[in-house]
Amino acid sequence: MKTRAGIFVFPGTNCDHDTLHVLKNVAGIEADFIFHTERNWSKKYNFVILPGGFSYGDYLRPGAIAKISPVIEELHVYVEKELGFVLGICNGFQILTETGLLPGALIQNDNLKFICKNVKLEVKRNDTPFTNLYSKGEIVEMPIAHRDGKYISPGINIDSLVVFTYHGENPNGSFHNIAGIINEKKNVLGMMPHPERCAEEILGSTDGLKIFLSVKNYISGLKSRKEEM
Amino acid sequence: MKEFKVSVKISLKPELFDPEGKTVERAIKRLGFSVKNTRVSRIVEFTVEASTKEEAEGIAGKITNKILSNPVLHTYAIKVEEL
Repeated sequence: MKTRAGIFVFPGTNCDHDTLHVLKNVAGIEADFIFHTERNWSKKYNFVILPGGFSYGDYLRPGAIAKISPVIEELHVYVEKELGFVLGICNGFQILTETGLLPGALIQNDNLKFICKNVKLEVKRNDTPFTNLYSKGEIVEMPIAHRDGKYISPGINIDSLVVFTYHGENPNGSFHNIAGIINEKKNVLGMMPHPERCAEEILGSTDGLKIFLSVKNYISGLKSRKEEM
Repeated sequence: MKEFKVSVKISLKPELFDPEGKTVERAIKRLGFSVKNTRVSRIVEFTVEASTKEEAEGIAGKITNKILSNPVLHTYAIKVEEL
């Protein structure tokens, strides 16, 4: 099956164009934007991305207002019926925890600073649609850029859902060094690092590109609904 | 219908580290005061129409659960006064 990607755009989203560029021009994935007011998008896309930024100015707390946007209504059905794959990057990850599609929450970094730098990550799971081109235990480098990236999940055991952990140094105080988690169904991944910012050699690294190519690879192995019939 | 002033105080759960509270506490100490357990909360106020105070409290509770607070992170206290 061919990958058809949609990128959610909220007021205050600012990584939408970077993500579109990487999908279309680097990963070779057909992609366009889905505006936050859209309600009927789910049949058109088998991969949706909630990109980074500051949706609604992070008012109340990151993701709190985006989670009640019209575009999110269909996202719950999309995930439940497994109509495609959902990737939340940075603010996108915060929105996904706010919606309850991923467990836990993201709060202010322990040191209160906005941290913008490259960090090392360990790939804990490569048996997911998002990470199948990485090796298990592989150490990769990706940039982070956030003030609210400390992941917590009080009272919930999410060990089996951890896909990326910070390696070496824990920059923000995240519980168990968590940088990215997946849901039980393995169709929603949220991560604080920005894979779209490290997908081209000219920008210093291509470690992030494999996220997008993994999804493309996984979807290409799926039969389309028509073929199945 | 009557009008009620609602005030919702949203706080980080006491078991969660509050880096903002910690920073504020450090600043207070720099001024020479001896304080401890400093926490920063947020208050959201609005006016709502309802027939009774109980109804206004119910509406405020729904609003707080749906958007103002996140059950993973927060505790909250709602105050309702008739205007």
